[in-house]
Amino acid sequence: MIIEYHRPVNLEQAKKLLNRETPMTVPLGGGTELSKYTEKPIAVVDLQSLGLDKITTAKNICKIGSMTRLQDLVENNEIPGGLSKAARRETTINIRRTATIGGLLMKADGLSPLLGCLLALDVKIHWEPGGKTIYLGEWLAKERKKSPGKLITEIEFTTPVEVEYDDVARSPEDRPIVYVIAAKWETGEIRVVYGGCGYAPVLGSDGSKNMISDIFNRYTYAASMERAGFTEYQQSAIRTLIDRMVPQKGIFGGKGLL
Amino acid sequence: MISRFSINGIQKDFEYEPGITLLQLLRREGYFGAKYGGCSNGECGACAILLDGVPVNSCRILAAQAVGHLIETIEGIGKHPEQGWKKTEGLHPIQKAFIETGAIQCGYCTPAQVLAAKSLLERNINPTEEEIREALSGVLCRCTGYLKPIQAVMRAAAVLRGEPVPEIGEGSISVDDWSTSPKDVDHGKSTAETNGHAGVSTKVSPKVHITTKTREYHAVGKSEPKLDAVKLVQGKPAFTSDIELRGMLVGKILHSHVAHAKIRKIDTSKAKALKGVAAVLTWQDIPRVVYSTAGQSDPIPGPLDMFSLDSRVRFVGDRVAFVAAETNEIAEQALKLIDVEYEELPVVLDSSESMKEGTVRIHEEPEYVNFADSDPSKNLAAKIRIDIGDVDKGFSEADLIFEEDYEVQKVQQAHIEPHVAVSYWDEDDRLVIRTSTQVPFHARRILAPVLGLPMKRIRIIKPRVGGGFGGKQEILIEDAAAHLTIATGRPVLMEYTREEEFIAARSRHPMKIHLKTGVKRDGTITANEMYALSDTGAYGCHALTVTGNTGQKSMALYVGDGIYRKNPNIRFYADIVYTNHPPAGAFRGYGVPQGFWPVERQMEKIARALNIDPIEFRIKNAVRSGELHPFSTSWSEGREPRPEIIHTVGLEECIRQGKAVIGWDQKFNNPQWHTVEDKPYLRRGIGIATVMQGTAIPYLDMGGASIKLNDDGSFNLLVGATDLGTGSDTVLAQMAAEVVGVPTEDIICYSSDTDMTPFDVGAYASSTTYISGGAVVRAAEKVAEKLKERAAKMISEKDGVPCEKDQIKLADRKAIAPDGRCVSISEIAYNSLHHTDQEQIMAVASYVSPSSPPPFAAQFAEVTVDTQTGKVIVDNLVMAVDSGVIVNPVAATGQIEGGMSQALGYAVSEEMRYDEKGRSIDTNLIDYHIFRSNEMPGMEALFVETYEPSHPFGVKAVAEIPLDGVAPAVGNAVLDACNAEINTLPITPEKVYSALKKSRK
Ligand SMILES: Cc1cc2nc3c(=O)[nH]c(=O)nc-3n(C[C@H](O)[C@H](O)[C@H](O)COP(=O)(O)OP(=O)(O)OC[C@H]3O[C@@H](n4cnc5c(N)ncnc54)[C@H](O)[C@@H]3O)c2cc1C
Repeated sequence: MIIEYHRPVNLEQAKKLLNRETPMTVPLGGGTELSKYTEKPIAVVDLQSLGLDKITTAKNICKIGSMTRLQDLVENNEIPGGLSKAARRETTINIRRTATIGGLLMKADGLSPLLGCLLALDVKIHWEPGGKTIYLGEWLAKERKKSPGKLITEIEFTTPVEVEYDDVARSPEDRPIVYVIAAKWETGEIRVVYGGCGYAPVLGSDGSKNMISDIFNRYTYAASMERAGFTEYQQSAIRTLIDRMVPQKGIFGGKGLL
Repeated sequence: MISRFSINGIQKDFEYEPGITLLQLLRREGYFGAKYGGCSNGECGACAILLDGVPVNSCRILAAQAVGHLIETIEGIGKHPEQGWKKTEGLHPIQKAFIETGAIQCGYCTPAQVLAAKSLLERNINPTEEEIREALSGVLCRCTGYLKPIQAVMRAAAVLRGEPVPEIGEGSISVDDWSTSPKDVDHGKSTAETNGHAGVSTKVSPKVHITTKTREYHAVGKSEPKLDAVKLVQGKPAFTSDIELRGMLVGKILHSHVAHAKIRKIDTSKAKALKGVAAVLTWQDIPRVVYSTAGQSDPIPGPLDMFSLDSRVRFVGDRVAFVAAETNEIAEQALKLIDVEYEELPVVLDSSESMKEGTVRIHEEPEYVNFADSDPSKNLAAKIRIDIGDVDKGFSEADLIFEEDYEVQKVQQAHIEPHVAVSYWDEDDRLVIRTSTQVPFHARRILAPVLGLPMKRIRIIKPRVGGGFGGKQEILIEDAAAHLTIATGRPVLMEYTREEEFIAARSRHPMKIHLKTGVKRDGTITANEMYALSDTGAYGCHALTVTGNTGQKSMALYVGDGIYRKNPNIRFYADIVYTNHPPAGAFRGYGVPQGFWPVERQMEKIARALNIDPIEFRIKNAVRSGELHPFSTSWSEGREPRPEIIHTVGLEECIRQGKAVIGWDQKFNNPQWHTVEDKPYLRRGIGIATVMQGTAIPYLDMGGASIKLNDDGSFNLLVGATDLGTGSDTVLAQMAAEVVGVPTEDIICYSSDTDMTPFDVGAYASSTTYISGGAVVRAAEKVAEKLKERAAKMISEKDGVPCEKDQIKLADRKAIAPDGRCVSISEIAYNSLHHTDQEQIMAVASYVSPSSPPPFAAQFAEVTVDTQTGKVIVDNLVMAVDSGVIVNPVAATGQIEGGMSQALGYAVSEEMRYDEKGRSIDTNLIDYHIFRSNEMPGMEALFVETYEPSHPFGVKAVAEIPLDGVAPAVGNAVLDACNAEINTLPITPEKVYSALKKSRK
């Protein structure tokens, strides 16, 4: 049950409120999750007036404010196209106009194309109070338990980067059964992430163009996918999509399974 | 908290709790245009409003978040132009376009769609179809298939740009104009390349090959706007939950979390002690009356096996207790405080296990009332054994026998308005139940004993219904609300959440079907035999009749040829068994889609195996006009069968027209068309299914209508028929208008209220236009007689020259003599009500049909299959329908398009799945995926009219048949694309992948 609603107008006020011990006080992003009824009495701190909804792309870094709506990612032409596509596949347009990157980072699971994309982009998350940062991959590996702050202010990733997104679903707008995202930097580094089940998306590979086929042989893939809980069909579809996405890298010989 | 909200340009201060959502606040303050779809994730979008000009779902943001922002609701968009002496600017062009194009069916999601369109057009006055589809995609619509709402936005955009728009009636053209065009629709490239976007231009009017008869009518055959559209497009409080009664409580049901158990102990003391709880009821508190929730005529053709509350639960979601409390939150909390001690029993979830010896019995109650062959000792809810001709001889005469197993899944009606009822005592101590139902009269009859009230002390009011599709042909929650009103003396609102819709409402019966067909090498079917094992779940509502239809409709289509045509050999056996799944029930199509999946898949495979053109094979064996309905001598929903001749069969013409429109001849057997450039792993395919349905239940379904003349020459038409959004009120008004010679707008149709309107069985079995329409026409004819009689007198008296009543014609709001002398209907009304031999001109009539004339259709599908992942994209659907005379072409097209989109979900994405403990896996509209506007394939509906002689306007049914053929057409198209043999619905990527893997081994 939400017993208090606050709308601070600067970060200091927000931090102060979030530092309170009682009542339990949490940030409010878009509210798509928090507006659901909970029995626990909580206070919410609405971040809408803090100016945390900017997307900036300068000096090889793209920064996205935590209050950026998912639909803003869809409509932004400066960010990689694959990121927009993944944001679009996250949920419906009306919810995308409300839900925020901050809320998504806190809540999304292995079925989330956008979380997968952020993992592929190797985003760094900025936290307050304290101004600490943590890479998404590291944070997910800790099961989001030891957050270095109470409030995500923004995320950032290195640019320029190309992002490819593909998925398999029962219908074009259905939630993906599996998705694959590949991010590729000018340095030659490629990160491939896939998802479709479990607590978080899986980082399939992180390495140079040459490393990728070594690290990424069928067997390590199969093992990691099985561990993550992917069904046999999902594993096969993931392999196919990766092969299509990066056939020149020689992953699985560019053939797919069939 | 108190905050200032800006709503529709007006600043208002409201006091509210910090935790309430914007939807709760808006509805509390009377903005009922924002609708509740029961969902917990905002996935339906019926609650969307504009926040700073963009649509957001008001159920998923806090009211407090909206402070300081501009809120727009449908109430601020446009109004009825005439408000007595006060004139308004009228409806917004988008609202007008929604009305004109038939974009409104049930109207529950209409306000949200209109707002989404407004937001789009304010930013982009010239949007592409794709942009419109995307803009509307946040709002789920289960009725329309989205085509008409998209057309509406296109039309509104043109109006706002100042461009002329065509008349809506334009476009109904004669058959030869369009059948000869080889590629009527430019289906362009595979939608796999455009992420499923249809990419076809939209057309408002369907193509209708009209009969010569239709040309004579002035109201029938015209695309009149829906009578209720003006109120629905304004978001008026027209639905069940759009009222607030003083002291109204919120009712909730405690659902079982175990699939099968006896309730050993139930302690409600903590719940009762919670502040704000008005009543907690368990099986110990209310009378134990056995009944069936199936909304059907008396006697219910199925077992009586249900109690309002019982000491045993039979599925996860079954009822354990009812709670009434001051607020939703308190009621939810109270549910958690009820302590239940279960003695768990073995669970049976596999229908194949259900009848085996030693399997746990689901119904052991002594009150159980059998119907026909139901046998609870064997978990058998119903049994069907139909033999037509000599099936074994037919098989012995066959050159080849084809035999296969098929399976169809359980799916949800998923109407966007959940089940909802409000009950209260009126000032005469009569219990009023305002409910979203398809069957108000059955509800009253069935509820009376359950509530311990004489029928005359119950009144059922059906307001507008936000979709039903069979799900509301059920007395599902009315009893619960009523018990709580009886217990507390207070009004109770009982409204399901989306999760409850999934765990504790009804669904389509899943079935395992074995089909065996004998054929000669020349393609003559010699015998056809189907066995269906149907899973009715924990209760036997509709068990017999749904499954009866599975065989009766689908197995009737192919009678065979030559000697077999006269004496077809058909066998249909079925066992309908209890399991610990949530009960199945009525769902649009009513068993027939289940039957056509195996039949049409098997026909395709046989034709291909015999190397005969699949369409020729179907035509060769299909039933023809003038022939006996093969099942009419042996089955009538558990009642006495009587032979019926099928007078009109437009199937061949439907096939011809449908083929032309989809471009069959250019695609089928064309290897080049089957490939996609640069994507060797993609394969395209095309498929057909031919289908038939029924129109009402003969000698049983009865509709009543009364028509009353008013002073101004308008008429009140009262019908018991229930318009669920289908437009049946409008169609009935059109028929009345046709007979009494006035425009449809002069007919004020009201449906339905058990106190006010004549009896009608309700909206099911595709019966309203045919049966209730028959009643309306009869009543109107009686009124017309009286009008003519009085008019003749008035005309004769005017100048002394006699005028014969029988020569008078009613047209243009006048009674006209052959010599041109006339009086207006209003003059007749004044004369009859005020001046001479005063009388109320009115009439009541009813109609029962001796036949159930089947509509026929050819359904086509085009798909693209990814042969490496198994992903299937349905690119195009075309359906050509023979539904007799089309009373309202735009409304009828809406039925076809909406039906096809539901059937598309059945084909590829919809499935209610359960874990090993019988718990539902899909409890929301994210996991259970119904199609959105931005992923629909191209769709086109065509009508090939026949004139059905058994109806005064030649009509047959239109509403259910679109559900029948999409899945098999898609299955056949997948087969055509890549040889993947899928016998189990839905056709998922995984199944296609496995089938391909198997076929390559
Ligand atoms: C229709 C629909 C479909 C969905 N599909 C999926 C899916 O497929 N996969 C999936 O994983 N998820 C899915 N989601 C969940 C979705 O990802 C989240 O609901 C959404 O992103 C939350 O965003 P929000 O801004 O509304 O969060 P809020 O409701 O505001 O907050 C959610 C949580 O995040 C915290 N929070 C919010 N902002 C911050 C911040 N800046 N710093 C720290 N904490 C913060 C809040 O305290 C709260 O605990 C779906 C949701 C909907 C409604």
